Amino acid sequence: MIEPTDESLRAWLLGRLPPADAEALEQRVLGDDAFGERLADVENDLLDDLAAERLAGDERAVALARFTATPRARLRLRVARALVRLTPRDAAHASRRASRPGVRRAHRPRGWLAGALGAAAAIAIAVVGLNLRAPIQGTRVATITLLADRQRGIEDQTIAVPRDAVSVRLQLEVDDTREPTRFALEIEDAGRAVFSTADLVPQTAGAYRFVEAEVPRRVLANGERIVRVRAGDAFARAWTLRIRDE
Amino acid sequence: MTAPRAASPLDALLARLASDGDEGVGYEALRRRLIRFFAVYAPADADELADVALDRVARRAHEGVEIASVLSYTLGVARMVLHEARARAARRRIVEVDPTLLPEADDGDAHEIEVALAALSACLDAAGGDARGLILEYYGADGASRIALRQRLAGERGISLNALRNRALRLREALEDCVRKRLGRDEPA
Repeated sequence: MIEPTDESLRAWLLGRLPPADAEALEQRVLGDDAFGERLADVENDLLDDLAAERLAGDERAVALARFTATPRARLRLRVARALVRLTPRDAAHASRRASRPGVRRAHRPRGWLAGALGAAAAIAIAVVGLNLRAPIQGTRVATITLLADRQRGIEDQTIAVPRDAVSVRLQLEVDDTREPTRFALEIEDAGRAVFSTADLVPQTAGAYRFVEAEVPRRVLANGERIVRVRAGDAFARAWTLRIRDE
Repeated sequence: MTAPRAASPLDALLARLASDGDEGVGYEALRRRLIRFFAVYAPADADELADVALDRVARRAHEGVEIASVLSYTLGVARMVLHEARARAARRRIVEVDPTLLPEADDGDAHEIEVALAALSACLDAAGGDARGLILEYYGADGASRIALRQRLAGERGISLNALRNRALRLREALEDCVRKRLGRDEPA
């Protein structure tokens, strides 16, 4: 019998395994306690990825449903989120999360927040309209900032996303709306939606107002993508990006 | 001479399990494995569905159905129970959704996380240095670096990866239980 990988066990938990493969695993979990413990280990890793916001799109939605389904599951998620704050590996990630509205700021604002506060950096961003930062050491998360004046037409400049980035944090400028609102993000590839997320809370840095979301690296692979952000009928903006792997 | 009929379905099931001797599986182990099975597909109802499946297997054993392999038979019953649970969920109206499909609202409340963080820190301190270090290291990596880190941790302790995993699982369960008790004690009703 071929031993299942952690990836296939995770796919099973997320409901993505073909039925024939799932049936084989069902037999294992009924017949083998050690296998059950391995499955529990994979589930913990999935829980930790959810808590550390390393999941996105459908994967995140399914995992969130799993880990909020019962009071015990919700407690486990709460503990996992606290554990993220304590593990040294994720100190940088925890500090980014702490800069969101509604979360107590434990660290100085980073990324384009810091850049927007500096006049010279703000001008540079406004002229280019795009800011691509290499992954911060130890995090493997690249950042792309898109301003309002970058939305017209297909850009000549190709964006090179570092190959070793595991995800990309998109920061998208939005307008101030009359009513407090939340924004939805969608990324299209050849007219097909390849990523979507909602309930993005706008943040401000000086004169700039933006939303941000972390997107799996594979969503922003080689090719042209359209990035759309909207808030119902109140606001909509789109950017066309040409991306290549670096 | 036929064996006397068991007094109850549970007795019949226990007798059937015992007849496999050391190669068989005990009732609690079978129930635990069934919970793991249902937890994959219906985490909100795993315990209840496991008991439904066990009750059915027990009734069949009590009725005299010959069960050649307890595990295979139980797996078949479990799949049927799961199928029925999914069919019930599908028949419900959209406003009455299976809790495994629609989670409660979750916005990662900052205050909740801070309270949990304080409880977790206290529980880690109470667990002691080695346990604390193991938990923070074992669950501190992500992605592809996880397996390499865990193999290193196992090597440093002179134990197998399986043994390390088991230790980490138990420590985490104990930690979650500790936090649950602290939160129940410290939070307002």
